[in-house]
Amino acid sequence: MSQDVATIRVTRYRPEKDSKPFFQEYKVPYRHDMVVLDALNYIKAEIDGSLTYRWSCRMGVCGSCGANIDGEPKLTCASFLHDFKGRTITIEPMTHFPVIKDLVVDMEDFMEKLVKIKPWIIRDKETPPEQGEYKQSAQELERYSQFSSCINCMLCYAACPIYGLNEKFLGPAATALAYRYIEDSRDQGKDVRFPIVHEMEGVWECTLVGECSVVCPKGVDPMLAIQKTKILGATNALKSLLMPRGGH
Amino acid sequence: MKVETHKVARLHALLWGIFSLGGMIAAFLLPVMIYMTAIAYPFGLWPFSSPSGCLYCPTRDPSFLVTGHLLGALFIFVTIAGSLYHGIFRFQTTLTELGLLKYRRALEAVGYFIIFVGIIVLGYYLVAWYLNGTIA
Repeated sequence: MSQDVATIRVTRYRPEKDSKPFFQEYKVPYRHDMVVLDALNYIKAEIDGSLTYRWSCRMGVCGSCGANIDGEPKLTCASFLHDFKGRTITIEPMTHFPVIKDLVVDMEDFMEKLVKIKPWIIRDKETPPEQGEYKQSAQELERYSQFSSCINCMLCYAACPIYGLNEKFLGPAATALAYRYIEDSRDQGKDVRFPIVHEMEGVWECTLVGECSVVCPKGVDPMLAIQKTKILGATNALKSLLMPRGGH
Repeated sequence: MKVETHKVARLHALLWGIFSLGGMIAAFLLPVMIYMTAIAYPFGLWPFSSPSGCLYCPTRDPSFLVTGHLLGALFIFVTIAGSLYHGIFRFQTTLTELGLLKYRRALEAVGYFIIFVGIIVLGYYLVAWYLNGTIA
């Protein structure tokens, strides 16, 4: 079976050796079913073992292989080489994150934000398992279902120009996840999460650029979550103005 | 254990609510007002009573919307003030997107000053118009 050859241009950066990042070019033979991640694996195995990048599942589930491919944040495991036929494929680390080495970025800031919004079901009082599950209707599930598909790949942060300008901004994925729990009928943690998402650097920094929703590989719409969270914030603020003792 | 403190941006949330309302007004009412004042009445496409009592007489005087009709004055005020506020709020976000965070507060202050003066002047003229039937 004949093979095409892809030209891959990858950002290289070894902080202990290099003063700034630079590009290195590789020729990779590929079959029709190969993705960009396969090309990176080929480079590491056959050409240059020092190339460093994250990956795990190779099937768009773990969210660890994100990179900027020809300037767009994408999962390398979900980008086919044949889609770039005839041109050099440029692979860079995701923008807006500090680079640790080559394509590996520092996830610390995102992980802190993820924990901050408490991505788990909060109950006022837990009932023992013997008393049965917390039941939920299909309509109740539908309210948050799409937001629970987030795989924490951080592509939305790489695409968000506001996060690039202000790293304190809570950002798309964390807000989408917070909204996922706010809308979950089993959750009772609104009073805990509202103050976090309704800080100035919570949802209010978002200027509705919408790139987060465009690049999401799982079809999550973080922009919608942010807008809905803003509506909740404005409603609560109005309630607290009209009913200072009863509103949020 | 570290105690978390969060400062909820209530004022900003309220202003965002007005911005959203202003956006809806700009989208729905502004085209109606432009059609009525700039197309329908000047070209006699809408029945109205001119000072001479003539129906369907083209006019360039937009005061027909205000004189004698409190709802007309309210319609103009809500439409223009809502659109202006929506504009200044959107201007803020544009400043952020342009990376002018450093100058945002100063530029915002100038913008808000212009908009609020504009809204007050608009209100003053509409009241005068409504009460006297003329701006002067």
